[in-house]
Amino acid sequence: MKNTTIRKALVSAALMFAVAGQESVLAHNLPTGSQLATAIGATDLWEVVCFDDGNGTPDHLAASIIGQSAATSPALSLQIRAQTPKVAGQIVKSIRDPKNGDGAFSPEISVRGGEGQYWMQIDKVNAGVDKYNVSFHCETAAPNNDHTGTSFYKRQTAQ
Amino acid sequence: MKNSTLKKTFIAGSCLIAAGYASFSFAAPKDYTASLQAKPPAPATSATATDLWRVTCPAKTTRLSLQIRNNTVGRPYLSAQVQVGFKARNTTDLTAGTTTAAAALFSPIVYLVPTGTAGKGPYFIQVNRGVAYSAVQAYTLRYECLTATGKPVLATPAVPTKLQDN
Repeated sequence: MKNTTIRKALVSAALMFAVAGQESVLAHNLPTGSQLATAIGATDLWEVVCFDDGNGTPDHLAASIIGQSAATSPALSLQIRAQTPKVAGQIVKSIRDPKNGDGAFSPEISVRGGEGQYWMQIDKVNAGVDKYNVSFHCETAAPNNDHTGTSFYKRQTAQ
Repeated sequence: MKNSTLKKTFIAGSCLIAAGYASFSFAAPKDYTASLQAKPPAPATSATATDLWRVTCPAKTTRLSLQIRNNTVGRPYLSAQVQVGFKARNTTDLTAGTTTAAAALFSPIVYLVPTGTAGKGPYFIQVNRGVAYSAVQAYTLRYECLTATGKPVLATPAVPTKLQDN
């Protein structure tokens, strides 16, 4: 009886840890089918707002991009800019998906802008249609990096 | 005599106006040279390096034109993005290695027209590259604040404000 109780307690605890772990790595993705227009200067602009949803005060926004068109499509880049940077001189970062259409995300970048507004720009190096997605999440400060409230809005497309 | 003086005055005035108009209409766009550094953490994460500039356009501006030139042979290609509010554009110089002033050697020109009618105010320009690189990479930004009819605004700042230096 005692063993059964202990076993149940262990299983419950393990499940709780598993759920908590799942929560902490939850990320958001842009809507499926997002794509840049053909024009050479085409740029999509997304606004992300990080807020405290009870998990803690946001410290940074982390994101990575994946190109979902053929390998011959123009290379895609992602820039994150914080509206109110927490560290002077560290306002914006950029990353390029090294290979379009390979099913792999770019390395992740993060910018420390605390709670509030961030900009995500998606652009490409040349003319051509590019499908893409971005995985992004607002997090508390390291080392916890807990997932916090994240909302996002499309501000510009089809340029 | 009086007519002759008037005529001379009129011609002189016309020439002055024409000269002023010409200099207004054909003012060269602003070129500003800077560089992406190979500062730590390089080279592994220097692909994320980004410079950030602010150009504050004066009254009468309705849009900003932007190009970038990659100034060193064999370096990764460079991109520049410009953003104001909910609008953004991007341009990339795919051919590295020239410092000739010819416009053709710059990236394609892009124009950012802010939402609404107010083109006056700050434009944020970012510069970044495609891959990690472990050396300084020089570039030149070419920009101009423009009126509704596409003429350069004389008071376009010749030196942009540096907000982030990577």
